[in-house]
Amino acid sequence: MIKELTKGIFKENPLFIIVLGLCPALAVSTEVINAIGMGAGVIFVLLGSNVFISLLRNFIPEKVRIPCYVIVIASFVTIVDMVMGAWLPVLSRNLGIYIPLIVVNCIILGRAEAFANKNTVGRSVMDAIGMGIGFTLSLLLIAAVREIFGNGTITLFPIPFLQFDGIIRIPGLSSMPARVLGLSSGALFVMGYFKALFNWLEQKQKESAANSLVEPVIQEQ
Amino acid sequence: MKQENKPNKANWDFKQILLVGSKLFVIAAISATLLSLIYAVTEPAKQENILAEEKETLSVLIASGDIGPKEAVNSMQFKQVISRWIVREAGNPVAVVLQLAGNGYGGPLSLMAGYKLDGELINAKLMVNTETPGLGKKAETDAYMNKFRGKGGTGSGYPLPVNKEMLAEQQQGSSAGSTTVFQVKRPANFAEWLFGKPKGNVDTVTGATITFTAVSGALEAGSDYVKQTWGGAE
Repeated sequence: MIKELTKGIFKENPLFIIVLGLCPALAVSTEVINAIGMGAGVIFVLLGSNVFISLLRNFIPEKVRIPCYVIVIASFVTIVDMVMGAWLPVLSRNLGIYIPLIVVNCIILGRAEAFANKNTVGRSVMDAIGMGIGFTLSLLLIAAVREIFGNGTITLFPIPFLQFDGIIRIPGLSSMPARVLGLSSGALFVMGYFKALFNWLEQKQKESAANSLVEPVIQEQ
Repeated sequence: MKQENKPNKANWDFKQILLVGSKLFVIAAISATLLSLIYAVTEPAKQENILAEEKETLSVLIASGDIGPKEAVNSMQFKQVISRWIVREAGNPVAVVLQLAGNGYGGPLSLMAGYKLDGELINAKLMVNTETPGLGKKAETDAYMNKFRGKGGTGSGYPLPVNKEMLAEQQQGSSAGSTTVFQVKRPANFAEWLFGKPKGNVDTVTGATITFTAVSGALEAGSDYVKQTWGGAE
């Protein structure tokens, strides 16, 4: 059970290992605050869609499962969008842009197809939380690198009573940043280097497992 | 179970198609009903929020004077002007706030802009939009509208910038007025050439061209509408 929670963070990290959800990830990783917003949205929607699809897994016919997932996911996202717009207007203004982006995030459909339709509700919830946190952490990593080196700042929430405008400026870097990292090509550079790093870490882990003369590790499903 | 479900053409009889189809129909019908019910509940609350935001923006845009009721505008020439509020002082109109529509990168966007009667922009605010966070979304900030404020009047001053060349010219012009002469500073070393910002305020010109075009186009149409309607007379 706890394995379902932790696997999303490194072993089956959605962004760096499975490489799902790249498009929204690269688009919104310009500022740290965007990564937090997108991450929160993905965790919430992933949780909802995994629960519903897991509940309906015995009702949905296998031949039309993809249209059924799309209906469930799109309805859930639309409901979240409408409810937020009506009763949480401030949150909606800040997060609203991420909500439509989540519909096209492959992680949601990917987890529905690969996990939620074969597993119990409890395991699906764990899977959603783990995958969501893994996605958020990876997104934060990309956004932090891009914003720190590309703009010399870290953008967080403004806190009015501390006189904090929500932007940490890094001395030295904010006057001469490497601007390319903030642009779309920079997103691909950063993603590429992180993917290479994760490949190397994965490789090393496999080698050390093979060298330790224990039974060869069989990749878990 | 798995074996039976394998798509074997011979197994696809009418009954099975009907069963699968009706299950899909049930799921679609339930979610459509749910969505329409929730829409019916949330939409009035959403409209109320939009009205409250309009009211708040009006008081930010116009400091003094009595703001009249919202009037719809149906102009064939200025399709971007959606509605207007006339601001009066002692019964005479002194300014007008327009609701403007444009097409940004992420779809339609709406602006509220206050003008003096000669078409000079007092202030503007980007309202509903779906621009990209970190790029086009920056147009929501108050500082973004600095490019446009106080421009577009028939008297002295700059016209509203409608493309980035005009914006760069105006910024060069204003820095020439405040300092001595506008000059492109050469980078001092390789690191500055590689990582340094372009000098001379031009860096504010970069980024989000489509958003800028949408915002400036709408503001210019608004300014022209005000000029035509009130004839540029104070």
